[in-house]
Amino acid sequence: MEVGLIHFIILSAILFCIGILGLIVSRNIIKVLMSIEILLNAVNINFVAFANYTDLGELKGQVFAIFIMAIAAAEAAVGLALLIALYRNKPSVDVEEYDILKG
Amino acid sequence: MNLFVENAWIIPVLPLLAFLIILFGRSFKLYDNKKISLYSTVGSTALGLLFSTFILVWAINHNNALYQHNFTWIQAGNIKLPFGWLVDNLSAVMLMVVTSVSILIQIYSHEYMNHDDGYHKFFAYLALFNFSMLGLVLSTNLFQIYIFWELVGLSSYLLIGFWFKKPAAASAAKKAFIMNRIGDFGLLLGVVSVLYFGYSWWMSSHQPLLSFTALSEAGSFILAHNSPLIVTLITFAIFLGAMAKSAQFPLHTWLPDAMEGPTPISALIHAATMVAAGVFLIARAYPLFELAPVTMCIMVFMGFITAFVTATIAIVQTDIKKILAYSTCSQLGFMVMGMGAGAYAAGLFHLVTHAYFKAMLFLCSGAIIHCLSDQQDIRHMGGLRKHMPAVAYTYLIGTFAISGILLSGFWSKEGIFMGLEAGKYWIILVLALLVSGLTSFYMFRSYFLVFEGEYKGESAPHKPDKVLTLPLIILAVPSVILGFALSGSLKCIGIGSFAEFVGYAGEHHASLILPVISLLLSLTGFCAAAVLYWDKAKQYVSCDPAIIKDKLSCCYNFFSNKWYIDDLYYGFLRVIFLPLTRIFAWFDRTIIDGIVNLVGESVKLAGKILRLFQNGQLQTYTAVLFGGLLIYIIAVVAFWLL
Amino acid sequence: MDIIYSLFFLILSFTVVTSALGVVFLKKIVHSMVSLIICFLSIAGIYILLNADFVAISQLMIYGVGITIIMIFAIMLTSRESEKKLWIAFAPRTLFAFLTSIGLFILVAYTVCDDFEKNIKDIFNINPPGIETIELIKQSGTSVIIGKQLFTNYLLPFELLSVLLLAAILGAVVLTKKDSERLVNPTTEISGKEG
Repeated sequence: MEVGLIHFIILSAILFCIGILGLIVSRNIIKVLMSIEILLNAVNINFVAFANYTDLGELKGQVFAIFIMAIAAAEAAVGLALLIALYRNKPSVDVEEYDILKG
Repeated sequence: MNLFVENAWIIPVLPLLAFLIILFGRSFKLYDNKKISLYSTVGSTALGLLFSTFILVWAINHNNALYQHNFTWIQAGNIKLPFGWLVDNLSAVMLMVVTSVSILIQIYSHEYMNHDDGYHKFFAYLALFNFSMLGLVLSTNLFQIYIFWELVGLSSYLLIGFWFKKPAAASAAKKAFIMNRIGDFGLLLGVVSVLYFGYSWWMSSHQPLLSFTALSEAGSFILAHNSPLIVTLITFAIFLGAMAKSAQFPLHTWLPDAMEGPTPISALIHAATMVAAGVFLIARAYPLFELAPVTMCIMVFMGFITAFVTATIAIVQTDIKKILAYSTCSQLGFMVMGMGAGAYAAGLFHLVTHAYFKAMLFLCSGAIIHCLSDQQDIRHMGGLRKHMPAVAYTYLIGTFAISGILLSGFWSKEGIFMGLEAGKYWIILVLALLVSGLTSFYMFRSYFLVFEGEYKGESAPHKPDKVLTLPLIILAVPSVILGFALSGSLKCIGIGSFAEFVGYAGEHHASLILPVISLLLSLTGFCAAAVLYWDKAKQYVSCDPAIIKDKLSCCYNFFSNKWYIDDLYYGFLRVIFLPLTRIFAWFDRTIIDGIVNLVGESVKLAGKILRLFQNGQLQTYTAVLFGGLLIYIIAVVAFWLL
Repeated sequence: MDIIYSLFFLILSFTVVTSALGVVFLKKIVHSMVSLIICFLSIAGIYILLNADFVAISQLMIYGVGITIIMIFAIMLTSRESEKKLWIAFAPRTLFAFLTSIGLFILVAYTVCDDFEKNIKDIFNINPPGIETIELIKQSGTSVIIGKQLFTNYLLPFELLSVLLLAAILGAVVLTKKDSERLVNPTTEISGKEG
């Protein structure tokens, strides 16, 4: 079977849905952060696939994918720093214990 | 002269202005002087009297005098409800009656209510009543008369319940208003039916809607296109309104209770003017009534029953105002009987004469009550002729008038009897003659018990003021002469008969049988009363009223309990009506309020459900976020694909 | 050629999906960490399949090395011996999440199938790349094109990105500074060393 754009899009969609699932279902904060990375990767695959199949002259998709990667790295760093800061107050990584904003 | 006719609208508007002056002047405490209230009210009525005199002169001089002016008040599509004033012979006469009686009563009540706290309020209500009654008299169409009808009912309620701190007065006012409402329901049905059934005629003709001048053609149209039953029902509905307002059986019980109000009010409203509004309505809507002989027959019977029942109750009353109230009911029954039998002019003539002498009788009783410091029981009066001769003699004149002995009442009742004879209501005629005898009996009973004999009261009576007695004397004049002047027996002098003036003259029998019989019966009544209650006559024939009371005690109880009609009504209310209202109240509280509460509760419930989403956990919020995103994308894709 | 391409695509995509599922559904956090690394590496392979050599290398360096190290540090700093196994929350939101993700996937799949490529090419007016472009890519890889784009069209975002990275570094440092004055929570024990 010939692999076309559609297959990459479907792969990206699967990854995105797994990422959403992990984001909402996990009880461990670190798993939530990992699911966010999966989300960003899924989007990256989408962009690069489009760049490959439609825009080989300027490769705008790949440029954007690089930007996304940089920002993802920054976000992961800050996110984990936040986790460390939170952990100092309440030594738990259970998402369900952080519900002070209730109501 | 035309100026007065064209500007006849001023006549009701002036009392309205007086009312507003007193209302706002007193609400904002702009003045305190009683004279201002008095002069504004009396002044407005005096100007009205002046206008009415000129209008009457104009109407006498013109043949077939008719002047109408209409505005379009409410317009909804094709329906234009008019509002205006109609000046013809009938309204000229009524204007004269209303304004003259009104001004005399206003002068009288200045003295009567002088020491009352609600003096200003009284005159304000008087002005309001004046406005309503004059507006009613000048109405051009059924709709306008309904508006003023309601206003008159309202004024009556306000005035009956004037001393509302007394529970009896407050409930009497409520009773009057509620019974009037029952009649008003009928009137409204009738008015709307006339419009509904004759809609095509009203639209195609260019007459103002529901106007009285076009009623006969509209009526014939309705009769031609619908079954006679419809016309009968419409006229019966209108008669229902007249029944309540003019206190016919069975809606008559409010009138005696209305005596809780001040005596000038009883004189003005419940003797002379408001209760005459019902008869006036019948007169105005007469073209419709003529097309429904069944309703006319019903009117005769209802009128007779009213006259009979209330006359029998009046025999055993001991409160002077109640006697006069029941006699008013009785005379109204006569009027309705006359109009039902086709004696339109006779009924109206009786209305006019009755207005004058009944007002005078009530004012006399007011003077007596005032001078005896609010004593109303005739068993505690007696021999007052020596203390207040003016009152006594005017009361005597009034009694002669009402009993039909040669003064004005005789002539008007004769017209009614003639009408009954012409309509071949033989049995009713005989019984009506008997009722007329009863009238004479109880009126003379009241005269003898109050003015003759020894004084049986406790405190000494003091003399009445000139301001009280002057209106009495003035009112005695028409009581005496109207009968002679207007019944047509003085045609030779050039004063034409009332009947010709008002229309529907009818045939005038030259026979003397009926007048003689009625005169004899009235004299019989006088003799019976004299024998029972007058000491001077007791020297000849001795008869003790107490013995008769014992022998006929069952009759006596029946009459003095007002034929148990009030008890019947209260029983009906207690047993049937109030439980029904409880059901409706339950419905209103539970279901309707429940629906309203349901809305509030559902909002609370929605809040409770939505609160579950706010549990402070990040992932719940994220879940909702992605859910919303999904829905949004579905919407966009659907929009894009379709 | 196509068969090898398709084969590699299948293997790599299978790996990606499985390891992503492993990240979500494995019980121990370290296991899911390893699964994440495998995921990143496979995605780099997919990039290579897509003619994106520069992006693949960047993926390996940034994700495969940098993010992994950060995550491992975080796990080490926040794990305790007696901690219960935190796996999946059994709450209403899990059902909702399942439904949402499956729904989203179905939606995308439905939209994308039949004649998507032709529509895309019509909408965006894309022409197949010229011979020179393909020769250039074959010879020196996509770095040339990306570099040219970065320094001409997308220079401003490039510079802003550097500022953002600076901000992120500073933020991370500030957030994780030791609270020597006990400003945050006076009574909590701080894991690790005092100092």
